[in-house]
Amino acid sequence: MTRPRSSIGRRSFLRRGLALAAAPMIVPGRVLGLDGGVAPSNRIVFGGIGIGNRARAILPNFLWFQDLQWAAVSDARADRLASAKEMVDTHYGTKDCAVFADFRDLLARPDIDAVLIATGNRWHATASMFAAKAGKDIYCEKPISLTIDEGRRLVDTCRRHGTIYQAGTQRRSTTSYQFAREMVLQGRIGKLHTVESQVWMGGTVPHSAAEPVPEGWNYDMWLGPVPWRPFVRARCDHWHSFWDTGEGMHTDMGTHYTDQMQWVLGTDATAPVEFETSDVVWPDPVKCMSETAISGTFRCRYANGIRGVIYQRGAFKDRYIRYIGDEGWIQVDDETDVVTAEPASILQFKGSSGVGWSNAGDHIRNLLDSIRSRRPTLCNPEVGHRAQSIVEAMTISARLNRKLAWDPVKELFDCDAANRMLRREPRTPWTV
Amino acid sequence: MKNTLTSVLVLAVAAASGAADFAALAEKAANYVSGGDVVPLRELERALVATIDAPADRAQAEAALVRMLAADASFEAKRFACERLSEYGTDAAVPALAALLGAEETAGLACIALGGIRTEKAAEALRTALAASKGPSRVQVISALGLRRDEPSAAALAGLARDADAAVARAAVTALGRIASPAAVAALAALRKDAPTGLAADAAAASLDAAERMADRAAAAALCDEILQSAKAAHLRRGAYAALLRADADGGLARIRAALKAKPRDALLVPVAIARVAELQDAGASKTFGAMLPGLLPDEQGWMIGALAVRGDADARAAIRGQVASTQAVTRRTALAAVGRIEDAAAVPLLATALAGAAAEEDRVAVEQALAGLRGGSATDTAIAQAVQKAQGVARVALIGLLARRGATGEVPALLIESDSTNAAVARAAYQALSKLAGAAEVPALLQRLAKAGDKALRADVEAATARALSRMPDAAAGSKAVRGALAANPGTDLRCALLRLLPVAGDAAALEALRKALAGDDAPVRDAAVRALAGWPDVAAWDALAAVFQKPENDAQRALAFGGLVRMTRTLNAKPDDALIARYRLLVDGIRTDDDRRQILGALTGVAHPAALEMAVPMLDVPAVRAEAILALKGILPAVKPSHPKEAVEAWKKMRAAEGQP
Repeated sequence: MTRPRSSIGRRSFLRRGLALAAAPMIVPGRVLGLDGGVAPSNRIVFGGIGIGNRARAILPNFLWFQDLQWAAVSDARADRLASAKEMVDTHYGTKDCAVFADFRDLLARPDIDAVLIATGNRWHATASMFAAKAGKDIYCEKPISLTIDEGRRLVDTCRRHGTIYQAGTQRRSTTSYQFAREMVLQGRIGKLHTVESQVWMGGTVPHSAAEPVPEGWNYDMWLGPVPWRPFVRARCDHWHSFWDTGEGMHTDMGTHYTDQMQWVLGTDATAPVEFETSDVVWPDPVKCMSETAISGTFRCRYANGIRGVIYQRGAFKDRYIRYIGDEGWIQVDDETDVVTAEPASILQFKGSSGVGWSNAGDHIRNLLDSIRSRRPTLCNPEVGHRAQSIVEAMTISARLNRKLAWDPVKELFDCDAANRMLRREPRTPWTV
Repeated sequence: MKNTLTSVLVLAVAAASGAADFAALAEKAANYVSGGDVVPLRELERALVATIDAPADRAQAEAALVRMLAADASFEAKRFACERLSEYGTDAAVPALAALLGAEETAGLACIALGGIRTEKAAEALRTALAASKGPSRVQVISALGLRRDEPSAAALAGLARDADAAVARAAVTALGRIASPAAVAALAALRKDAPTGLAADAAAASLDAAERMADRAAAAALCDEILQSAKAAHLRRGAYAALLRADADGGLARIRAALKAKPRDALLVPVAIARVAELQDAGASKTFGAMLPGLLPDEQGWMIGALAVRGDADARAAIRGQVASTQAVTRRTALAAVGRIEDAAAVPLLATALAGAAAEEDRVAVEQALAGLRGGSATDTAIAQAVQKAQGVARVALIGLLARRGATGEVPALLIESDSTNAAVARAAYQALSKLAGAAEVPALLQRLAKAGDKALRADVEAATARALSRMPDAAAGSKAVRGALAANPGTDLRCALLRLLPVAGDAAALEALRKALAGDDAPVRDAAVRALAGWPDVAAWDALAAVFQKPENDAQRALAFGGLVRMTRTLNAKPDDALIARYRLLVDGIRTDDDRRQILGALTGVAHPAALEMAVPMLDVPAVRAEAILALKGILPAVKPSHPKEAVEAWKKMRAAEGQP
């Protein structure tokens, strides 16, 4: 069982002038006496909505916590439910984990306090709003929405229902990223002027005809708010590559980096003012039915002149984020969690321990503490939405092949065609 | 393929004429089904984007999309057209879209398009469809009207909110919440009173939605208050309460105070109230709620400390400090965590006192964590160093450790003073801290202390600190000179051995020569120390001296050290698998005595891309004790050697496979 080691007790790298002003305080679970046994009545009860690969990768991080009890799972695909139930039952040594084909039945359980939402991207915002309206608190995988309008509706819904929500941009709770941020805030690379990141090249999907829906798939539910279309297995397996179900890797992974950029810049309540793309390579429509970019350069600029750039190129293992200042730079390699810097002397301040991004333990702990205290999480809906809206604005800029100005207060572009891409009409009954 | 070629030709003609032939593209695209030709769709998309700068072409483009809505167009073509009309459509497309609203299969598609056409004509089409549609289509139309907050449809939606079709009723309630006109709000009020339970709850949720948008803010507050009093669902009460806090003129201050004074407490709302403290604009809020801290329940105290920590003003800090000595463990530790987060040097005396008084391990950890995290940089480091001087025993040791944890290089002089303490624990802690912080400037002082260190454990700490400081010297020659200078003072055996062990850290030619001389000395322990130091030499420059020891060791320990050092040095050269490297390995192989020797060589050979490595590794397959290591080594060598020496590689592979089958 993966045991998330809290980084709280090992912040040996912290040195001077830590600028932690506005972030919520993490109170380690052990301070609250939660390392030992916790009475069932004091445990936060969780259910899972969408229990595919990502959910099963992160589920052990949840199950480790003594003050959390996992009670149920749901998925539109029957083939996924059995293995998820077994994972939970094995952990507890019981057979009590309930399974639901319809997540609304899971949400109707009054004993469930919170949910993990790890569906495909098309469902993230909608399922979250269903959960909020059902009175559940939420951990939702990124990206938190597929359109900017959807993200803003999510923020409003959570506020209205007093929902505690944590976006799954867990690198804010990860040692190497925390270290890089603190070094930037301490001025060790001079004045920051550029945040550069890289995500991997997108795949392509060859043409494929419609086919019967496989046994055990609730395809209507699988599609969710996406307009109905005939079932094509390749479209479902590679949903990242189509606009209505995903928006490609520069959004899916890029949102992790825009979240980091926003955090470091202290701009969680606002956004860049300009977006531009270049060198975008699209799939060849003669060979492929996929839609999202294969590669490209996606840029933004903040009102204070600081620039962000996401390169979509290279392999999966080559992803990184680099903060570049006028006196040096600092980079986190996402594959290895290794931090490099110029001048290299910056690295002497880094401790040797702490959690990597694949261990979401601290991020989940932050959510659990916020559920009890009702204080905002590290990656609350406004934070998540602002980070996500950056990559979505980049997508719109790429699809329209034009530079766009953005008003972060009104959340509107200077281009009517772009503004009409801020939203998509959701398909009922999957509307909230 | 034919369609693709035709499309390309059409585009070529269009390009020549300066505008896309939308009609032709649409004709091709109208037959699209999954698996078919998407080129016309992509070209249509590109052509539509081009109309942003050529609005004169927009009407043609829209007309083409409308043609794709014809009855004989494929479903997927219609879907595509509706998605594009949501982005580019105008009133011109509304009649065709309105026609689609009537059919179950296409109502949803039409709503996609109309959702993007934010005109009165589009809204009217939806209103008209509202009456005529049924079932899922009707639900889609209701959703569309709600999302565009269409006030004129409120009356109709109010009627549908009581429809026998539960899905229609729920959708209508949600839409009324979005619309939030006076008529919509009144309809929801009625539903909250007399609708069946489930729908009444939906009406309460929709009312919260409406309250945010109502122009009459007093009425909105009254609505939230009603929901707070009447709603059964916890989240609705929390949501209503939070809305009231936001709406209050004082930001919720009075309401929060009331909640915290209420008896009994409302356990649902108290955390929401306390969370709001963090956001209050009132300058006196920290003082007000800080004063309430002692009277709160332990959980509440923790939450309030969290909220005050966000405020971070002087009154907040004072209130939090007051809880550092709380008798409640959770409160105390939460306060410590907060102090560590928001305070600076000014908090050091408080934390030092807490450290001295910490009885429980968890408290000690919490205090140390707080000290480690304090802001204020070098000023805080200096304050901690001052606290060291006043502290005793375990607390003093812990504070010294914290200077290391904080990277307080500015306090190295203070640590040197502490290293002279007669208290062994303090002295050792100081040296351990110096090990992390000391640099070139401290090397002479550390060498002096090494000369004086009597206690064995302490001497090890001094030696470690000296070695680390030496490693940070940018000028290795200067470090070497300092150590050799100490050697030249003719120290006793123990000190001489310690100094010899430092020479590899400096690692220059003069240091190596000093080690060679020591090998020839009269003192056996010194010669052993020299061998040990040579075995740890950072590069292959020590090879000859160490090889000589290997070939004529004085004892088994020297032989083992030399062998290990030679293997380590040789391995560093694996990236260049030339004859010189192989000669070194052969020397080692020829000197093998034990299975442990074989294992060391096999571990190093794993990275060697030279056929001679196979010759050396394969015979070891016949030694049962190291067969597993030999197989592992060959698995590393074979892929590297195979391209240049395939025959040798295959032979070796066969022998390896045969060996794998043996016990």
